Amino acid sequence: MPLHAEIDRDLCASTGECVLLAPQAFALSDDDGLAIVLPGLADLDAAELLQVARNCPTNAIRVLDAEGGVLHETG
Amino acid sequence: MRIDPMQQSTMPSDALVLRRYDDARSALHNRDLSRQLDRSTFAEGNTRERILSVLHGRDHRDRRRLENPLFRTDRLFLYERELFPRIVREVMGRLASDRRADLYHLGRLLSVVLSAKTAGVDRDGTFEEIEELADYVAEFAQGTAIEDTVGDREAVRRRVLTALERFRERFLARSRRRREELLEAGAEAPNDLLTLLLSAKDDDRLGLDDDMILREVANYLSAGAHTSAQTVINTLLQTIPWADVAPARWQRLREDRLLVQRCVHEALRLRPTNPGLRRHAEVDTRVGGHEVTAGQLLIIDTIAANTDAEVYGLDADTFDPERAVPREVPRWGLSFGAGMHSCIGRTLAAGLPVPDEAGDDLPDNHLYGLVTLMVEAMLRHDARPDPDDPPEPDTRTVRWTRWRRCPVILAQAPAPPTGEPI
Repeated sequence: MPLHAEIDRDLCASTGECVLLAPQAFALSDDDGLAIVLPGLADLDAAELLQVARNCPTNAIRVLDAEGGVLHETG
Repeated sequence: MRIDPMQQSTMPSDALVLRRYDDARSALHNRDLSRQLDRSTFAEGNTRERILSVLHGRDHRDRRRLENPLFRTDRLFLYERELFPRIVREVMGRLASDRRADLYHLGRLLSVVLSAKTAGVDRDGTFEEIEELADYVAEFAQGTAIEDTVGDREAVRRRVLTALERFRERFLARSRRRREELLEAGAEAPNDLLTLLLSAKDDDRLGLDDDMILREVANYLSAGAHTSAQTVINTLLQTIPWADVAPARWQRLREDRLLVQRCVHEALRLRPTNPGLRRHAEVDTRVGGHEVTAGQLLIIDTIAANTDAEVYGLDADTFDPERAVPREVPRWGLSFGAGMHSCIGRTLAAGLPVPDEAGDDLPDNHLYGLVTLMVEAMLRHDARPDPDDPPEPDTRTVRWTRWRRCPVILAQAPAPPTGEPI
């Protein structure tokens, strides 16, 4: 089942932890240094993606399932 | 010995102490709670005023966005895989002759070379200067933890201020001059904190003045080096008795760096360098099941939260680096904080989270952290506390997990230094 991730740009502090854990799925924007989601997100399974989201120091990654249900909330 | 936060002299009677993991985590993620404690008591005339770790809200986020690029992947790999092994070899090599060391001093020496590089403190390459910087680390650490000082807080403030001014003259002035000249000439300046701050000095949003830059650089030099040295001690003091239970454990520790990293994370969970994190409520808010009123002080009892049996199991207060931990919680508990103020150097110090199962594949980009490499070096040389000179707790602070000295004897002599520059 495809998962989605969204970055809360107000919360993101550009720590880069998501990039360290899953460089295929996240990068930091050249424009403002904030996290962005890459197409490689599809390569992560739910457990891997949730671990990245839970590891984010500012809890800035929202994880959604294919129906839009929230698996991990920001804030 | 267990901290009783309510015994602290600076503790108001209505302070809320949080001991459950969920409450503590909730507090650390609550953006209505700040680290801005009483300014005249803790910040003014000290290393802490307006540094990254005490800013709040948008000011904090903007400063963190400025400074976070210092901890990107390329730097972490460079430090862990290239520079630090050489530092360990050269610094340890100096112990070759007598095989004795104070682990707090040694840990600072090992850590301060790279913390100076990150901060932007130029060195002349001599070992004497590394020793001098390690002394500043110990001095500034007293200022950073001033709210938990036992005894004369004003004396600490005076000493720290004197050290700051000496540091400005001895190190910051020449480091700054070199970067300003490079920036003015349009040349490439070193990629470090000082360059970042000087480049952003005209950005009014950030409010960077000369004294603030001094304090921020001093904190970068000190914070990571001090806490890393303390964590090396706490890891060794807990790992040795655990390994002594069975020779097979020693064998695995010598062969499996991931197990050493698990020991570091487990030691951090049980002995965080700050057992009582403070937060100040900026407005009325709610933390877990608690109503909190504006102005109220909260104490997060890190050790109680990290040993919450509902999260870490019924044996949560015993040292077991191989324990199973729920996937959604870190093995190190809340020892690096959490939320906006989580430690900026966490991955550099402790690496990335270890796989849940020992048999899981380790990704190529795994980082073990510099503390893991230091502990590994101690184990490789069979370092043990000197039975005739036991570790001395740092009684100058209520942060009882800290040590003032930890004399060790190395059964295996390190190779002599090669003289390669570090």
